[in-house]
Amino acid sequence: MIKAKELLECLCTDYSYRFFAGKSVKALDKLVANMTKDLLHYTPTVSTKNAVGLSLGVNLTGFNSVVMLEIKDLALIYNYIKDLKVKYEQPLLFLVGYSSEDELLEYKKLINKTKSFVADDTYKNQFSKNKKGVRLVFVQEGILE
Amino acid sequence: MKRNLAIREFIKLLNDDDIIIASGPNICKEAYLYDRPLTFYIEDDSIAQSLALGLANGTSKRVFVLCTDDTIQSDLDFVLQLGISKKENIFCIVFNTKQGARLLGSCRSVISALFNLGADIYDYSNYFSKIANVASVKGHVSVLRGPTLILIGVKDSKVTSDYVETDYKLMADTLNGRDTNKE
Repeated sequence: MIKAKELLECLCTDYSYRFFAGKSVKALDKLVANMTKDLLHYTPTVSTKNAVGLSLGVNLTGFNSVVMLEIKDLALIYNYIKDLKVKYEQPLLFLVGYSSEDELLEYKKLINKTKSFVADDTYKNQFSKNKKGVRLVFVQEGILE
Repeated sequence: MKRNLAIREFIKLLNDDDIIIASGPNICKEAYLYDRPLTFYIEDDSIAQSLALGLANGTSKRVFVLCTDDTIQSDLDFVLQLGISKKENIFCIVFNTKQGARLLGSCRSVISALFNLGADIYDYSNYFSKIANVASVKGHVSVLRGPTLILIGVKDSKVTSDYVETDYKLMADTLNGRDTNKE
């Protein structure tokens, strides 16, 4: 189990992700519960595409931002993310929540081999400072406390 | 007034440091004829509006997103997001090619939702019926406070221009004051 508060502090303090947007994601609800105004700005959105646009807009003004989404929504925006990966350098993080390994397998065609997970204490390595551009990091339901 | 002329006249009303996001191919083509350093062209109109809202979150400059009535009707998510954002520097300008107040009529529930959420809605159609009338709305535009939706009734126009969709890197460089070719 990973403490949601520690993950948040890691993202906000160590890696300067200060803007979060997204629909409600069950795997990330503990993360949202621990959010505080002094640490970050969180905007709940009505659709994942809105969250991508909002985060991208904030990102373009120089702030690192995070999109929170469910793995089932990844299919809706995957082509867009792929396109962004090619032409974008500013750190933009997609935290993707999933319920089980089976669900992950369903979407394996969408996820490339270099997928990253927040699964154990080594999760900080996923957000290395020299990794530029768009990154997808997966979080399983129940892993955050 | 035709839409391309309305776009030209509206751009003239803005300050140099206002950010404009032209969304959708038609608006991009027409706005490109009156290009300025802080105008950006996003062809994918499903992302352009929320991107503009994101820009408004990250900067204190006024952000104007130009779109058509078709875009706004197909992307109602954004309209609600605009309302709840409470951002004072975001403005959505809808160039309405449908007759009269049809947009208001067909989107009455959205308009009332926006109103209830604290957003302002103005109809500039009368000001934009003749070029001579446009100047009289300049004072209002200069003191606008968002989130605001502005409707402008126009006639459809077919204009061609060789606009290039804005590259995100160039956009980031321009917004963050780094040297770019754009300026």
